[in-house]
Amino acid sequence: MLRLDDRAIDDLMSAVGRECESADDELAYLDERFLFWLANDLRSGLDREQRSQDERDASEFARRTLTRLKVRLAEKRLPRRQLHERPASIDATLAHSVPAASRERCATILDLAVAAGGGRELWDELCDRWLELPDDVPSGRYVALRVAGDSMAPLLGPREVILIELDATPRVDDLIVARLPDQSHVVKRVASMKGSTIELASFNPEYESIFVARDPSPVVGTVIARFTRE
Amino acid sequence: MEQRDNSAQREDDAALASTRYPTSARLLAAIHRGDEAAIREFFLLYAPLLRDQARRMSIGPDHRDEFVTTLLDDIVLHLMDRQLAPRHLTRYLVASLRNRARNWHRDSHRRIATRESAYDRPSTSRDRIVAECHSEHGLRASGRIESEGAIPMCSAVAALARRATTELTRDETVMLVCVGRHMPLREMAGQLGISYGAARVRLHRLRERFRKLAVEHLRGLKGDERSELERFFRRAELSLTGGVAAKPKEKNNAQA
Repeated sequence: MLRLDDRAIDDLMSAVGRECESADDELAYLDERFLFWLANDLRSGLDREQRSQDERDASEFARRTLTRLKVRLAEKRLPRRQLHERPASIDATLAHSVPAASRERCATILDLAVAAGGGRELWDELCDRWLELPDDVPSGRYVALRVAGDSMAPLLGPREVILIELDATPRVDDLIVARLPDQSHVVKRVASMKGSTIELASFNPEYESIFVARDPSPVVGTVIARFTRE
Repeated sequence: MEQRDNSAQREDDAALASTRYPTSARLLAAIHRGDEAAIREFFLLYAPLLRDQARRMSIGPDHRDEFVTTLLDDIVLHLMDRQLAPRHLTRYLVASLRNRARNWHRDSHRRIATRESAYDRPSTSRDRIVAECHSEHGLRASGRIESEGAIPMCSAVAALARRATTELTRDETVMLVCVGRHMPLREMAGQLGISYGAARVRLHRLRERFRKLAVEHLRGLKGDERSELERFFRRAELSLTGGVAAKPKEKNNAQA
């Protein structure tokens, strides 16, 4: 007669128990307490190297998840629209073109990469194209800029057009266009406003945050819409 | 009444999350607020469990970490977006992982089938292939890898597990799963809402029932399945040729 001792039976019970768990969803979800015990048991069973790897992964995970959340919120606030552009009624610098475009419910289009050229002032740029404002955007002072670079990917890609409301007061999580001390212009998310500085963050994790003074001079305006070409 | 109190107490205990976030409800509330530390803690608490579940669901080691991280990432975003607070967070996570693993396997099988059909029936396949410029060896090398990242199925144990689930009571099967996870007996008693002594008695009875079941099952095995279980028992110095007594061993008290 075949006999099995306790040790063999315990081993076989373990194997069969694991098999039952894998094969049966109901048993796998068993109950919260069991699963939570298991989570803690597996966590405490990690060796030092695995634990430190998990710590690093967790920090990276939290940072990336929050960035993805910000991107998702920004995508909801700034849905992509069709770009309707036309030749400008007057050939003038941005400073002169903005009021004229505003009267015709338009916004002047500038290339941010051009505006970011060394030492050139945004307001001295010549504009020859206007963007027709969508119906739901109230009349006001606007500038449309073409984005260069991938610091705001995946929300904003190169050559995408963003509509900037001039003179708006930025708040945390707003996307703004800011002028940096070297006269270049950037589009970034307001990550925080503490004391006398504004922290401007990129969605692309490869780019570091930028800090600018918390006064109206560096802030050109707030992004209120984004457009793709027809 | 007392039983209901016990189960309520067990629910409360089950909700214990970590020292920083003592209940899963608090952990979720902090995640809803976008607290970076809470999201970090969420990963540290649940990633090992989900990796283990992914391994059980035959997700290969090369894909496992990415699979779990992507799942956790999607779940956190979903919870934050909808401001959801699942009552049983761990069960919710495990269920999500198992559903996604099944979809992952289905998609993998489809990809493999499509690739194979591209080679087997090039005239009807929509996939562009360049098989004509490959050698026979190249074609064989690019073919399907049968056990890609999967744990080989232990058919004899699986058959015994199927038999056990039909012949044992629900509580006994649950206990068997706990034994499979090497859960301490005291914890197992807490799970079942019984005393430590009662749990010991139940485990003893389960072992005896299981022994009978296993012996009956072993007698009916032939060929590969038998040799598979022979390998299993080699450590206990047992032979399945019949009439062989087990060498006495120290009783395993892993569960005690």
